[in-house]
Amino acid sequence: MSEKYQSFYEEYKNKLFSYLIYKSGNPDMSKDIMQESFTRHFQYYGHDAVLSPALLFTIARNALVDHWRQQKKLPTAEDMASQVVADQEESFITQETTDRVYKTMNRLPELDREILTLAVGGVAYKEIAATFGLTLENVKVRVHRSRAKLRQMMKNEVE
Amino acid sequence: MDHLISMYIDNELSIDEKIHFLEHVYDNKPYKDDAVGLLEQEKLLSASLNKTAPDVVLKTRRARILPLFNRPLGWAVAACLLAVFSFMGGQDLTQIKPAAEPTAVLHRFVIHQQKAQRVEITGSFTNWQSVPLVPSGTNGYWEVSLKLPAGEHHYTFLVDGSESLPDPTVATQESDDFGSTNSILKVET
Repeated sequence: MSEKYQSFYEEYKNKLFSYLIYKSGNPDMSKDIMQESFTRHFQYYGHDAVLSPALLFTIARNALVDHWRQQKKLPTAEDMASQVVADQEESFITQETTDRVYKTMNRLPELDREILTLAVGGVAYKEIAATFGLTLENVKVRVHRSRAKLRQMMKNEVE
Repeated sequence: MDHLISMYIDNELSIDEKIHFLEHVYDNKPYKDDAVGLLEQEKLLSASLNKTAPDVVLKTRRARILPLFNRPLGWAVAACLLAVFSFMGGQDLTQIKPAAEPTAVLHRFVIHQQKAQRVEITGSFTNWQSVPLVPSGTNGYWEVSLKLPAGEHHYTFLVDGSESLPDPTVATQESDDFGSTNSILKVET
């Protein structure tokens, strides 16, 4: 593998894994799909002059859909929240807090949840726009609208 | 204008937008409060959503160009190579060794602050970064559970971003160089 692709892999492995964990709630499945997605991405686009993160995320989304089709079962929101374990060594956060964030986020529209997950993971807006076929302006508005809605919902829960 | 806050959080602002954003933050207190509130929320979001990927093996094969062969022969050679590579299990394997798991114990911090809008904890185990506590029910208790390595830890609670309070449940305390009192907790694994 070229140094260029190795550095792309290092930059995007946590971003892609976090996205897949959010989508599937299943760490083992996320690991498999991450591996498969990078392999396919390298195979088809690894020698391009500019490596495209949007193509990597598109491959991963398609792989996830294929996997669910094969399983003939879509995960429920409850499945996801209960299976995802907080990265405690990294984040100093409780499982209850992770569950609360997941449950509150599940009240946002699905596309907005996915976009917010990628933005929080540090994926550039232009890559998010290319992944979902949206304009950059639309991504800016959706990301902020989701954060503001989430904050209001979290506040309402405490009060 | 509002979406500049998220663009600031996500490092998406141009230089001109940064100037515009900062001017607005200084001129408009509700806007500043919104920005701070969303940054606080971002800590929770980032900690909940961002995961560390496990180490995987990428089985990647470099594409080869076969200019000396015509197309049918090229396909035949490719088929043979594929069979050999499949048997060998692939080339260019890349594997990153997993890091050793640190030994740590989960410790639950609890404090009662009825009127606080936000409570955080900061200490040697967070590199003195503040970590938010979450309300535990509606009776004024706040809590957070953190994994602590074995050893002696120094920490304090921060109430509403400014007031520093030692842990009332821990007897051992010290004064720091900034006029605050820290609690000292010994963890054994």
